[in-house]
Amino acid sequence: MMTTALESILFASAKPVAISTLKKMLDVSDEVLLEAIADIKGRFNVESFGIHVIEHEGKIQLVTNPSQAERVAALLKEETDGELTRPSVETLTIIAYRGPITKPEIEQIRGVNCTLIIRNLLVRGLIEEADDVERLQPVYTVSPDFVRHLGLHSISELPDYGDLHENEKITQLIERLQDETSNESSCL
Amino acid sequence: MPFEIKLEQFSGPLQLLLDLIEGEKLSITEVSLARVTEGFLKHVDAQDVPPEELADFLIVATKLLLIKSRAILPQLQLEEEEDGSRLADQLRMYKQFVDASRTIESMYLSGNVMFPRERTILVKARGFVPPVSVTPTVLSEAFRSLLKRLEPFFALRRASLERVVSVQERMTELRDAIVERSRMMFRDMVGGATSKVDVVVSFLALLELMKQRIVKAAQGDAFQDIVISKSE
Repeated sequence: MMTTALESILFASAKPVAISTLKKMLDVSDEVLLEAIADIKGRFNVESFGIHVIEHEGKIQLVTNPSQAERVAALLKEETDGELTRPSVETLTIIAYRGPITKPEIEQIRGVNCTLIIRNLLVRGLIEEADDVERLQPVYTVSPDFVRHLGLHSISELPDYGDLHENEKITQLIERLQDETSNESSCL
Repeated sequence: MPFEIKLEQFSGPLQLLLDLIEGEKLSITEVSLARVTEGFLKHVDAQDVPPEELADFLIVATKLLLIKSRAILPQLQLEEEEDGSRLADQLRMYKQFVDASRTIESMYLSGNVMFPRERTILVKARGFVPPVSVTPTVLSEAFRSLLKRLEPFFALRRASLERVVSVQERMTELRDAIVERSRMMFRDMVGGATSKVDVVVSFLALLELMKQRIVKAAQGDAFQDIVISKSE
């Protein structure tokens, strides 16, 4: 059974496994694979089951049930991260909802330079940087660690995610603001 | 380090604007933006805005002034009608994310953390096994492209380093000369100058020495030579 193989593979691998890798390993079609993943999620991601599944940026990982966080933390003797400042939270929010997103786009929304904050978030492992061939500049997404810290199975579980992520008005506004900035700088 | 912390606490001009508007229990419209313009400007004046952020604050300030002036003189139409509504839109969009960030913050602090399995202990391979595709060519290309990416950074450092050293040197020269002669003309100082930059450097050195009250300078008329004398 596909799900059996999947469950074993995911258990054996401590790191997140890419869906593309799974496809190659199991040699199945996209539909069969996605169906199996959905099946596992349906069975695991319930309150009573101790192991949950998360998916982020095309990778899947088995994690502990968020309700058991305290016990597990005690077992692993892990401390929860330090506090976040207001600018950090705002920047994280923007990246979470609109990722992958470029630095200029983040700055358009916040209205202020974000270089230091982005560097801090990178150092703390809360966001990740990747090269975007199309946009020819780095793009940022929240890290799997951050998603896990929020206790979410996927970033799309954020409230109003669909609305803020896809929102055409926001996209257009960012584009218009960027044009404005480039016009201003060309006038100087 | 303290400087960085300060930066972290300042969320920028949009936060200030939002605070002002919400403080007066207004909704985000052009009218309310015009209302809070003075408050915004006062804040920027009074607060110790970090210099890097000052430009961003000024951009918002000018947009506010534009909105306010249009409110006062509605008959004065300018080409870019868009600016006012764009600031309002931008602020509304910013507010959406600020609201969302409260949720994220509470989720982050709630401690509902999911832990992954601990990393399996990798069996260390005996000896060094480099990846197959890494040839010396690959390595040298990677390093070359890295150097290219860093080139503008190095160029900048080099240029500014040169200039700084020169001003210091020139200051020492001038100070030694003044100690000996107790009076000289600026033209004497820059007589041997090879470029405009050289002259500027000398002038900067002179200004610095004046600031340190080591020398005094006097100029008879515009564009006349400058008389440099030792301070008593």
